[in-house]
Amino acid sequence: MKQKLGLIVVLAGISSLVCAQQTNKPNTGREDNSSFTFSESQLNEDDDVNQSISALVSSDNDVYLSTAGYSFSPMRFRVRAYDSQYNDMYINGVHFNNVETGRFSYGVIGGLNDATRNKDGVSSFAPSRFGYNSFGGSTNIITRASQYAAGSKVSLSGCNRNYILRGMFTHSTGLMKNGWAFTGSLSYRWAKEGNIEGTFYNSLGYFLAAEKVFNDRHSLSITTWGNPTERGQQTASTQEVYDLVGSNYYNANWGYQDGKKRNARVVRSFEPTAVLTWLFNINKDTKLQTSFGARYSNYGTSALGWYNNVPDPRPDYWKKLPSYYTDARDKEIATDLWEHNKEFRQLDWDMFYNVNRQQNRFNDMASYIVEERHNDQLVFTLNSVINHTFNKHTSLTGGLELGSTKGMHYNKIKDMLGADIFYNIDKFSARDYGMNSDIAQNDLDNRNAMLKKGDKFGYNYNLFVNKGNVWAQGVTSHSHWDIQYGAKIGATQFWREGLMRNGRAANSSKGNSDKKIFMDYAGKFGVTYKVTGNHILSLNTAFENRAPLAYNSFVAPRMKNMYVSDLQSEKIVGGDLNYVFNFPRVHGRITGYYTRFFDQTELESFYDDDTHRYSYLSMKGINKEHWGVELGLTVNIVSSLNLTGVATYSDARYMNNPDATLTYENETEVTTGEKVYCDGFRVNSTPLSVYSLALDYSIKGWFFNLNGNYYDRTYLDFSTIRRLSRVVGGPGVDLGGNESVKADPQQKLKGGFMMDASIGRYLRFKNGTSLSLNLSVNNILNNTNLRTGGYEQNRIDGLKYASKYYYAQGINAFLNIGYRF
Amino acid sequence: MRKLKNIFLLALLAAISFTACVDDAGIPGEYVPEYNGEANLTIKDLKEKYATVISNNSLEEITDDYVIKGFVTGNDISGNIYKTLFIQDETGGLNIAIDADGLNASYCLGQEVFVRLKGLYIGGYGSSAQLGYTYNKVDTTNNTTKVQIGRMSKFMWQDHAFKNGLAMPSTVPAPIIINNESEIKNSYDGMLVTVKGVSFNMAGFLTMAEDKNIGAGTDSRQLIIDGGDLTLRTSRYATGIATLILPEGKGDITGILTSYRGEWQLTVREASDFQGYNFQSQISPHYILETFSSELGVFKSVSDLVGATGRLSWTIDFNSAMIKGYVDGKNVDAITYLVSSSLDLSAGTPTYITFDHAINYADSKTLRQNHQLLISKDYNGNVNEAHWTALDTYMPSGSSFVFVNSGRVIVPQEFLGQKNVTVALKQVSTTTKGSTWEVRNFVVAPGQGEVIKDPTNPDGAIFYESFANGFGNFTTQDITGGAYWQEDTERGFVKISGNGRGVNEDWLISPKLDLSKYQNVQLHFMQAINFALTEAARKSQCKLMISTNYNSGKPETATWTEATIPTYPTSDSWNFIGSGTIDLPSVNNVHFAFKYNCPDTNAAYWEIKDVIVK
Repeated sequence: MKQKLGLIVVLAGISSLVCAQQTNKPNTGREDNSSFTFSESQLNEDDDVNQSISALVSSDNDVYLSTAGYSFSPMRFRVRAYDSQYNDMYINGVHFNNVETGRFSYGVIGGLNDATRNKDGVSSFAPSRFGYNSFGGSTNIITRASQYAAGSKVSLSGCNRNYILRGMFTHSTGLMKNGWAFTGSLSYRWAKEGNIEGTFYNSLGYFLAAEKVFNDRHSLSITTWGNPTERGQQTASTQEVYDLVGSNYYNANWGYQDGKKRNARVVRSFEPTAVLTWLFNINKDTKLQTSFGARYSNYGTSALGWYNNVPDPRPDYWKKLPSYYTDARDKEIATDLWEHNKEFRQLDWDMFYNVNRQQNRFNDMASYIVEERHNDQLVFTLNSVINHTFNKHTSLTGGLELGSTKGMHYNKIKDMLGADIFYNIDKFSARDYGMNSDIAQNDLDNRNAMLKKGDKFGYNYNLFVNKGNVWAQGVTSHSHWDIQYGAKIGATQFWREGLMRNGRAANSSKGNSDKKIFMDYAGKFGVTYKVTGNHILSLNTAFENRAPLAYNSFVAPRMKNMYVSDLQSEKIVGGDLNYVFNFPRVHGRITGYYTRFFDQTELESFYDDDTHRYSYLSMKGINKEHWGVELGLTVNIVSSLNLTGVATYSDARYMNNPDATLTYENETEVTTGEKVYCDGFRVNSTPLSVYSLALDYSIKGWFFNLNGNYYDRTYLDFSTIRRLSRVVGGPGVDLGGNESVKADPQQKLKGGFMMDASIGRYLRFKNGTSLSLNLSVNNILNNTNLRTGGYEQNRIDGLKYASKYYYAQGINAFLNIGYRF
Repeated sequence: MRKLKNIFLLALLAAISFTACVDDAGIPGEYVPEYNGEANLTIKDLKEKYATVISNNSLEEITDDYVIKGFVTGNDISGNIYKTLFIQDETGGLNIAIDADGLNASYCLGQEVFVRLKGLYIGGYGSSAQLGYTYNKVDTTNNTTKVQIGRMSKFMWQDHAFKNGLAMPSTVPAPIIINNESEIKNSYDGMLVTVKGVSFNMAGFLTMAEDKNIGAGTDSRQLIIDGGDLTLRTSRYATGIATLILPEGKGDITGILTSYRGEWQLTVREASDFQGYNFQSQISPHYILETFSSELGVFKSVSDLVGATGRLSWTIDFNSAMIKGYVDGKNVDAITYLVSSSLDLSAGTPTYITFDHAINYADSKTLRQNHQLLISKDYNGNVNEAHWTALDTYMPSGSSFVFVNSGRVIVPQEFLGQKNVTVALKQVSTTTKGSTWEVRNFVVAPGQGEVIKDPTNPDGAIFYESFANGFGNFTTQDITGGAYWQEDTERGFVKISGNGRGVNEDWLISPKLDLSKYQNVQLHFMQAINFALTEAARKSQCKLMISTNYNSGKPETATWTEATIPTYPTSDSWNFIGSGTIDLPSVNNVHFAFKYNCPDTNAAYWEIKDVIVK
C-alpha cells in the first residue's frame, strides 16, 4: 500500500501542472452542509449496518427528497424503504453498483466530497439522461474535468463523528484555451478515536480528472480516484450490556493490548477506479457519450477467530453477562465487574497472546487469530448513451451497458497473535469428526496445510457476473400533456468458481459451477398532466424482471457450487401518483406510491449457537409490498425565511412465508421443505413514519437552519431461524380455519424526536476569493435513546439471546471552513 | 505554478500521516504466573479426611486453611470433560467441578495450580471425591430438594485457584500404566492412566457417543481389558471423539480413571488419547443396526394377546429399547415381542446377531425362558402363527442394570438363504414377576459368530457361577456360630451375616476345577460388604482360600492357602465391587473357598455373585 501511496503523490502533483482561473458559482450554506453530512454520517461504510442512503438525495429541486437524504440520515432513513440495490449509481455515465450485492458502496467516494459534488439525480419514474433507472431512482456523478469551476478550494473540518478531522484540497483548471481541463483533489480523514470508543479512522482520498476537448464534437476525459482507508468498527450490543455500562454506545470490538486500545474489527479497503469517457456531439440534436470504467477493489474486514474449544472471546457473549448466572452471588459479581471494570468488559488481547504461546509450547494450533474476510472485485463496465431530439415535442435516449465482474471472496490470516501453527480446518467439523477427518478439511487438495500470516484459509471462491442490456426511453411533451415511456432488455450471467476443495462438499466445491443466465427486462410508462405550469399531476407505472443477485443465489457460497433450487428472477411492479404545486408562497409535492416485489431471494449466514454450527439460511419466493404517502412543501414566510415541512407515512412488509433452505457449514446435507413465518413483518431499520419541520433563514451571507424530526415505526431486523417451521411448529389451523403459527412477532422500536441546527456564513472577498463557514449541531436535545435499528440474534431462544441495537448518535457537531481561491 | 508546491506538500503530509498505522499496539510480554506459598495437604490426605462424606455421597464445607497443589491432567480441550478440571499430585487425583466453559485456555494440561480450599465444598459423587460447591438438586417426581456436591462458580474458582509457572509438555504428569484390571487401585481414582491392550465391545457398529442432535449427554461404551472390563464415558459434544467409530482390535487408551459407584470408568481428554487403533471411516456392513437412541427404528413392539391377557410395549428409555413388566404398582401378565422388519438373507453368507442388554427384577429361575432371542423365516405379522427358533445368548444377571453383551450369536444355517427372516426379543411377564429388560443396541451383520458355550457363562469362561439360582455346585461348611451361607435367588447372589449370631466361621467351597490344561488362570468375582466399619475388618472377616488337595467334607481335611483379594470395597455399602483378579494354580485339583470369619460384634454382611474363572 505504501508503494501505491507514493504513486498517488506523484499523480496528484501532475494534476495541477496546468492551471487557470474561472469565476465561482456562489454556494448556499445549506448545500455545502448537506454534502458533508451526506457522505459522513449517512453513507453506508459499515457492511454490517444496513445500507441507508437513497440515490435520490441529489434531486435538489425536490423538497421531500433533499430533506429525506439530508436530515433523516442519522436514522438511516431509506426512501420508500427500498433496499439500496434499487438505487442506481453512475459515475460519468458508468454504472457502478456492485453487481454481486446490487448496492453501491459510498465508501468508494468517501472523503472526495468536493470532487464528487456535481450530481445529476433522477427519481424513480423520471426519464434519465444516463441510464435506465430502477425503482429507487438513479444518480450520475459528473467528474469530467471541464465541468469543474476553475480555482482552488481548501476545506478543513472538525467533528465528533466517525472521524474528527478532515482536510480537503481541490484544484481545477477549468477548460483552458488549449482544450485541456484538469481537476485534482486530495483529502484526508482522521480520528485516533471516533465518537464510539475503540474506533479509529484513517483515510486518504485522491482524485484526478483530465479532459481534452478536441473540438465542438469530440472530447475525451479520464478520471481516476481511490481512497485507501483503515477504520475500526463498532458493534451492536444488547440492552442489558448498554444498561450495565451506562451507555448506549458501548463497543465490544476493542480491548487493551499491552496497555493500548486495539480494535478487532477493522476495515481495510482500497478501491482504485478509473473512468474513460468519450463525448461525441454527432449533430445539434444527437449526442453520444461512451464511458468505460474499471475498478479493482480490495476490501477486507477483520474479526477474531478462535479454536480449540477456548471460550468465546467476545466480552458481551451471553455467558459473560449477569443475566446468564442463576446464582445471586454470581450475578452480583458479574454486575459489579461489568459496571466497574473496564478491562473485564472489553477484549483481552494479552490473554490471547498468552494462550497462543502456551499452544506453541505444546506444538499445537493457535487458539486465537485475527482473520480478514475479503470481498475483492475486479470490475469492467462499458456504458454508451445516445440522446436524440426528434422535434420540439419528442426526445429519445438509448443506451447500452456491458459489464463483467470477478468477485474474489476469501478469508485470510491477518495476525497470528503470537502463535506458530495454524491449520486450514473447519473448527465445527473438526469438533464433530476430528481434525484428521476429510470433512474437517477446508481444502482437501492441501490437507492440514500449515498456514502463516497472509495465507488464505477457510474459503476461497470467485463469483463471476456478466451483464448486458440495451434500453431506451423517451419523452413526448405538449403544452398540457407529457408522456414518458421506456423499456429495457438484457441478460445476466453468473457462476461460482471454487478454489478450495472443501471437505464438506468434496465433489461440488472446487472448479466452476453451472453458469446461470437470467433475462432482465423492464418497462415504464408515465403521463403528466399540466393543469397549469404551477399545478402538475403525474401518474407513473413500471415493471421490472430482475435477475437474482449472485450473492444470494448459492445456498452456501463459501462452501460449494450449489444453487438455490428453482432460482427465479425477481419481479417488481409499481407506480405513483404525484401532485406538484407551486403557489406564490407555497410549493411542494404530494405523492402516493405502491410497489410490489415478487420472488425475491435472500441469503443469511450466521453462527447457530444452539447447534454450534455455522449456518446458511436461504429464502426464496419472498413477496413484499411497499406503499406510502409522501409530502414535501416549502412555505416562503418572508423573502429570506422559509418553512419546510416533510412527512411520510408508509408501509413495507413481507406478504408471504417464503420457502427456506437451511445448510450447515460442517455438514454435507441440506435441510429443505421449511418456511420462514414472516408474513406481515416489516422491512427493517428504516423509520416508516417521519414528520419533519424546518426553518431556514438567510440574510447578508448568513444562513440559519433549525429543524425538528420525529421518527416512528422503525422495525428490528428479525431472526429468520426463529421463525422457521421447525421452531414455530409449522402451520396449525385456528377456529376460523386459517393457518396459524406461533411465531414471535417482530419488534417495533420506539419513535423519537431529534432536533438539528446549523449556522453558516458565506464571505466573498474583493480579490474574488471566498470563505464559507458552517457549523451544524445535530441532535441538539441529545436524545440518546433513539434506536436506528439492530437485529435479533439468529438463535431460537429470544430470551436467552436478547436482541442487539444500534443507537443514533447523541449531540454532535460538524464545523467546516472552506476557502476558495 | 506555485500551487503545484502546495499540492505536493498536502499530498506528502497525507501520505505520511496515513502510513503511521493506527493498529500499532505492541506485542505483550509473556506472563508467567507465580504463587508464593506452599501446599499444606496432599490430595490423598484431603480425600482421607473427608472419606465418610465422600463415600456417603454427601458434602461438607472445608473450613480449614488447607492448600493443595497439583498439575492439570484433564480439561475441556475436546469438550469430553465438561466444566471440570482434573489435577493430581504424587499422591492422587482430584475432580474439581467449575461452572465455566473453555477452561483449557487458562488451565492447559501440565499447568501447576494451587487451590485454597477454605470456603469450598468437598463431597462424593458416585462415592468418588469432587471439589466444588453446593448444588440444590430438585427431584421433580416429588418436588423435593436435595443438597449435593456440584460446581463452584467461575468467580469462586478465580478466587481460590492460583497458577504457578507455565505449562510445558514436561510438566504434564506421566500416566500410570495399567495392563490388567487387577492392577487398578482405589488410589488411582481421578488420576491419569494409560490402559494397555484395550478392545471395544460392539466394535465397528457404534460411535464413541450417540448423535448430539438427539440431545446433549454422555454415553457409555464397554471396553474389554485383560482381566475384566471398563466403561468408557464419552460426551456427545466431544470434539473429534464423539463420531469416531469404535475400532476393531486392541490399542492403548489414556485418560482419567474415575470410580462411579464402585465401577471404574475411563474418560479421555482428546482424540489423540486413543493410540494404536485403526479407525474405520464407515460403520461395518450390517443388516440391522439400531442404537435405540430415539426410536425403535426397524423394530416394533407386538403383543401376544393369545398367550397372555395384559398388554405391554417396548419403548425407548434412556437410549435403550425397554420393556417393563411392573406398571402402576402391579406386575402385568403379558407376552411382548420386539420384532424386526423382514431381513433378506438370500445372500446366504454367515450372519450373526449381537446386542447389549440388561435385565433387572427378574426371577432368576425363569430368566432364560422369559427373555428370549428368537428367529423366524415365516413371520407375517402374527407372532402366534410364526414358527420361532430360540437362540442362546449370554445373559445378564437378571438383578441389575449392568449391561452384558449377548455374544455374536450365530444365525443357524436354515435361515441363511432365506428372504423373509425376522428376529425378535420376547419377554414374558407374569403377575408374580414383571422384569425390566433394556436393550441398548441391536446388530445383525454378515460375519462369523461364536458358539455360545454356556448361556449363563459370559465370554467362554472355564468356570462360571452367577449364584443367581443359588449355590450351584458350591458346597457350604458351617464350622462355628449361628450364621450360615444363604442363597438369595430373589436378588441373585449368596450372602452371609453373623450379626447377633456370635463368633462364626463359615466356608463356601467351589467344586473341583481341573485347571491343568490352562495357563494363567484367574478368578474374579463381585462382592459387597456392609456393616464391617473398617477396612481391616472387611479384610479379616471376608477371605478367599485356595486348596490343591481338598476333596470333600470339612476344610480342615486339606491344606488351604489364603489368597489376597486385590480389591475390597472401599466403604461399607450394598454396592457390588469387582474383586480384581486372583491367580489360580494350573493343576488338576483346585478348589477355592469364601471363608467368612466374624467376631462377636461388628459382624460384616457379605454378598457374592458372578464368580468367573478364566
